[in-house]
Amino acid sequence: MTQETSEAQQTRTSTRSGSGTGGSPLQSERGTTTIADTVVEKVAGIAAREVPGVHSLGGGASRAFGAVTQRVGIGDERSQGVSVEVGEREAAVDLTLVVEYGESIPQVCEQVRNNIIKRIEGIVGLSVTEVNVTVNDLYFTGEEAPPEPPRVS
Amino acid sequence: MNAGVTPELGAEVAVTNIPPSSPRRRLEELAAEVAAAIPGVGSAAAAAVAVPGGRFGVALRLVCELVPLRPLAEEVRSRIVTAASSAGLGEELGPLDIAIEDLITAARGQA
Repeated sequence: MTQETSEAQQTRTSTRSGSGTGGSPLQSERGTTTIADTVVEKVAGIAAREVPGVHSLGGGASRAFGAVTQRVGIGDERSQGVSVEVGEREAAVDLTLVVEYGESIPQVCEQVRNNIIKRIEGIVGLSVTEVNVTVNDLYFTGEEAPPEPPRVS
Repeated sequence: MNAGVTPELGAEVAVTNIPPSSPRRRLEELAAEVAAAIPGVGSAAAAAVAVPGGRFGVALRLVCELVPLRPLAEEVRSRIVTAASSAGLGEELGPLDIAIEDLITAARGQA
């Protein structure tokens, strides 16, 4: 969906090469500071959800799997549908989302991109080289069935 | 710890010779306690290992709130260094590696 320029690809390569430890280490005189990739994923997921018009994150399989893992307490919807590559000072974000029908998809994507960049740079302190957004579905109001009433009181 | 009698129970307390905490243990406890008390830090766990030069490097694992994380890490590091110096452990404290492993947000109230 998103076309990468050669510059973006080059940047992405450098981001990839800086990774490999599962976090973003920052060396200082008195030790290193590492922020786990999971943290960056969660920040990106939260930032995306803050944008009006974003219904949920993740593809169909991801959402189904996420629903199961959340039910058993091992999943976290905040990082669902988000993957990141984190280098020492930069991060690249890929994300899949469902947009509410009636919203302008390009505008929603642009707002998502801007908000993710703002949040990651503000909270994690990493420069965001790219945010690739895939819109894989539309949400129509009333599409979801209401939750089933409990079988026992 | 000395032998004594607990007034409430009137029974003698068994005495064990618990050695005083080693600098390594004290550094671990101090680092975890100081970090956990800083606003923005949800929980903290610390482990210290000996490093060359007779010091102990401390690896600190944090779960934090949704706040600027690198300034928070620097604040944590700074306060631990200060607390270690105050506790007479400044000479023993080596590199302080901080890993932010998860986030707490108000949505779920837990990581």
